[in-house]
Order: sequence, then structure tokens, then C-alpha cells
Amino acid sequence: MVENRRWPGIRPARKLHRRTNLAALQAAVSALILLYSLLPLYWLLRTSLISKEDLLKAPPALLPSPATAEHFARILGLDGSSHVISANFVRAFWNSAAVCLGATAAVCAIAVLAGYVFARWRFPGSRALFGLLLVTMVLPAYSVMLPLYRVMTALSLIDTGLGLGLIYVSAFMPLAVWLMRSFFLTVPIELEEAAQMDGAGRWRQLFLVLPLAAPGLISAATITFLSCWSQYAIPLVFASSKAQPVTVFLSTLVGKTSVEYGLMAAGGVLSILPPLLVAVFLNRYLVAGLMKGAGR
Amino acid sequence: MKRRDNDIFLLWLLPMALVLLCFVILPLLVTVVDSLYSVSLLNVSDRSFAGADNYLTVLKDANVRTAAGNTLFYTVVSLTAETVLGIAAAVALKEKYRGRSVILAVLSIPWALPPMVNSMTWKLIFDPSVGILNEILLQWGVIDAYQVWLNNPELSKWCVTTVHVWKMLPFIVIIMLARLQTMPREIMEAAETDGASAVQKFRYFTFPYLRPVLFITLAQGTIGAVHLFDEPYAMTGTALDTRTLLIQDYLTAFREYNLGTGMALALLISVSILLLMVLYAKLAGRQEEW
Repeated sequence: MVENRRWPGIRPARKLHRRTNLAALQAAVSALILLYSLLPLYWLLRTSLISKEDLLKAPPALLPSPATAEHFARILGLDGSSHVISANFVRAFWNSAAVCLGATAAVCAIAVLAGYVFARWRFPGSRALFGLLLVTMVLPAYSVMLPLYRVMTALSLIDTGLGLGLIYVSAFMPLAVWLMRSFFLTVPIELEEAAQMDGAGRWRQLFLVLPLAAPGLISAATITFLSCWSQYAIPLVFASSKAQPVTVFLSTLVGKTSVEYGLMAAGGVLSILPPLLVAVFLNRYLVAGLMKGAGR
Repeated sequence: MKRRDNDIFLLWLLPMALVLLCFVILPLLVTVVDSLYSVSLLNVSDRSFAGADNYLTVLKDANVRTAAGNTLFYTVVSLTAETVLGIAAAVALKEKYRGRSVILAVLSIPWALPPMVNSMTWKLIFDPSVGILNEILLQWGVIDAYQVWLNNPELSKWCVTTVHVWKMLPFIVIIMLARLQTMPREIMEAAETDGASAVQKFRYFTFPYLRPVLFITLAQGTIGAVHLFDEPYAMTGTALDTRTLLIQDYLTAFREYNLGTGMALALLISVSILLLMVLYAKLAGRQEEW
């Protein structure tokens, strides 16, 4: 505006005004986001801590007072009452942990190797192979689930952690390879060329640049772990009893003759602890991975 | 680079190629072939060539049509909500401020949690006897009596959509934010010097800058909505009002044991998604030419 140039004194005042507006907007949006993410989770936590009698009072109590740990004690088997439920929950929780950690480790190993090759080597068909890999990201396990079921039956891998883990690897490998490739591409090639001059082999060169791509590897591991922990439809088909993960276990609590709200909620709270901690403490890597991973 | 050096690269690609071949490509080929046969899950050796019969069965099935309608509903409603709310949140979060990284961490929590547990959590909110939603809406005067949200065909689809969007929106915001943060400061400063209003700045600068990434968020949102399974299955089971195409496919193959029909439906869903992705890519490409 012309006036502003003539009387520069006006501009700081306007800018200040705009800045307080912006700060107010930022505060309001921050508050909204906190409510958005945390209110539903608060209700889960509150339901897990409220006693059976208080639960059915109308209108519903906002605070679980007095809070009780009875549901947590029951689902963890600390009160010695319902042995079957607690045994199944604890087993399902460890099933989830073992399969997710195993699949994540395997995905990372595959993705480091393949991502490095795709970043550093152009060979006839490399673009086609990479394109094929990306297409499979759009068609996840569902479209291949039925023949996989027969393969898994033939290999007697139905209802085993190994079978479930292999499916997870095939489902989440493409994104991890994509991520590792794009992180390796940001590492200057000069480092490896210098190492090659000194007679370093391919493995030495890979381990030389791997620390530089470490943030990418953590991103890939975070996203893979969270995706594995979230699965429900796949284990419902492939690991529905002995090897069931915690999501499938929780669905067995729903829809019984009498609904055990407190028990469900306590199980829910415990089952979201691992992904919650990962999302909060590795958030920088999670966000970086999501930002990069979406660009395909 | 010497040829001999590159041999080890082939070895490094091998694990990926094996997994891709055994768990994706071969099963996919089997899907294509078996969709032309009549196969039962109970006895897979008992099969007969059926040609296009499975596809005709799928297309004529009234339940498939209902499920397709529901999936279309979920896709349209969630894409609208994700795009509008996503843009609003990304614009508001664009400038760095103290505590923003904490807010982003909290925002990403719903994305990180299993949809099955999210559904359970929201079921506890919707529940007419132990939930809080009825009480809040009653107090605010939005409703005049308690509603049985998930048993009401008018409302249950909206409930499922809410839970799905709750998980997807953080992801959409993060993608949009990634784009907005690369916007050159000079553009906005120039606009401010010229006295552009907030609306004008959004319309002529922010939105055009955001547009290329909108196709990515639309693509991600579409994949998420078409693959919807956990939320409706966990909240309302196989009820026809909320049933999606994937739930229908699960029922056909694993409850009715019609493998051939199930594979035909799975392929139709996959091809539709691929076509949509090609369409988005075409639209995005034309965008860049402008």
C-alpha cells in the first residue's frame, strides 16, 4: 500500500496487530487439536477406571471417582478370577509384540538392501521393477488374500506368528523400500566413490552411508511397526485363535452375552500403549516418514 | 562401476524380489485365473471353468450393490471432510510457533492407533447406556432424546465415517503441511505488502500452491476409504447398512466359501482403485502443465 511506504510508522502497528491475531488463531487450533485427539482416548481411559456400578448411572459420570483398577487387574490376571480371559489377553499382547517386531526387522533389512540398490544402480528393468513395487502399495493384501490362504494352508502356516509376519512383510515392504531409496538419494555419492578408491567393497560402502540414512531407517521402522500393530482384517483370517494379535482378541470381548465395558476399555488402553509411545517419542521420524512416503 | 561389483546388487534385490513374487505376484495371478473358475474354499480341487459367471454373479448380487453404494458414501463423505478440515488445519499450523511440534505429535496419535481399537473407543462414546455423546448433544439441544446411534441405519454410516476420518485426517494434515512449509516466504510478504486480505491470500496464493498435493491426499483418502473394513466390522458387524465392499468380499469368500466369486469381487475392487489412481495422476499431470 502506498500510504504504508510514505508513513512507515503505520506498518509495525499493523504487523503487531496481525501477529496477535495469528497467535490467537494458533492457540485456538492447538486447543482444538488436543481435544480432537485426546477426548476420545480420555473416554476410553475413564471407562477403564470406573466401577461397574458407577458405569451405568445416568447421566454418565465424567470422572471415574472413585477410580478402580479392578478391570486392569482382571484382564492381567492379577486378581485370579477369570483365568481364561487374562491368559488369552497376555498371550495375544505378546503375539502382537513378537510378530510386529519381527516383521519390522525383516522389512528394514529388505528395505535397506533394495532401497540402496534402487538409489545407486540403474539396470535394464530397474524402473519397471520399482514401478511394480509401487503399484502393489495400492493393492494391499486384500486382493491376494484368498490365494494366500491356500498357500498358507499348504505350508501349515495358518494361525502361526511366522505366517502372519510373512504377510505383514509383503504388505509393508514396498513403502519401506520407497522410503529408504529416497533417503539414500539424499546422501551424496562422493563418499562411496572415495571409499571405492580405497578399495572398499559394496558392503563396506553400504555401512559407510547407512548412518547418514539412519533417520530414514527409523522412519521406515516406525511406520512399519505401527502399521503391523494396527492390523485386524488380515489376522482375522490368517491368525484367528492361537496366534491371534491383541486386536483380534479385543474383538472377541465385544458382543458376548453381557458386554464387559470396563474389561474392554482396560484391554483397549493396554493395547494402545505401544503405538502411543512410539508415535509420541519417535514423532519426528514418523512425521518425516509420512511426509516423504505420501509423495509417491 | 565394474560389472563384477554389480553382481552383489542382484543378491541384495533378491529378498525383496522373492517376497514380491511369492506373496504378491503369484497370488495375484492365481486370483485372476481362479476368478474364471467356480471354486469352493471347502474343497479347492473340485473346480469347473465358469468363464465370466463369477463376474456376472458379483454384478447381479443385490448385497454387492448395497455394499458398493456404502463404499461410495464413505469415500465421498470422508474425502470431503478430510480435504476441507485438512486444508483448514494445515493453513493454521503453517507458521512455526512454540509448542507446535508437541501439537503435531498429539495430532498424529489417532493415525498411529489400530482402527479396531479406535472403533471400540468410539463405540463407548456412541453407546446409549454408557456413552457420553447423547448427553452432550442433549445438553446442547442438538437432539431432544437419546439416540441409538449404531442401530439406526440413518446414523450408523455417519458414525463409521467419523471414526475413519478421525484416523485419516492427521495423515492428510501432515501431507498438506509438508507442502505448505516449502512455500517461499516472499510470496506471502509480497501479498501482504499489496494489502491482500486473508481470503485473497488463501484464494490466490495458498490454495494454488497446495493444489498439486491435493491429488496425493485425494489418492490416499480414496485408498483408505475403499479399503475400509475394520471400523464398520468392529462397530456394527456385517450389518448391511454399513457393510463395505471388502466386508462383502470377506463374507463371500470366507463365510459362504465361494472362492471364485470372492476373487472376482476382489479383482473388481482392485481394478477400480487402480483406475482411480490413474485418473488422479492424469488430473495431477494436467495440473502441472498449466
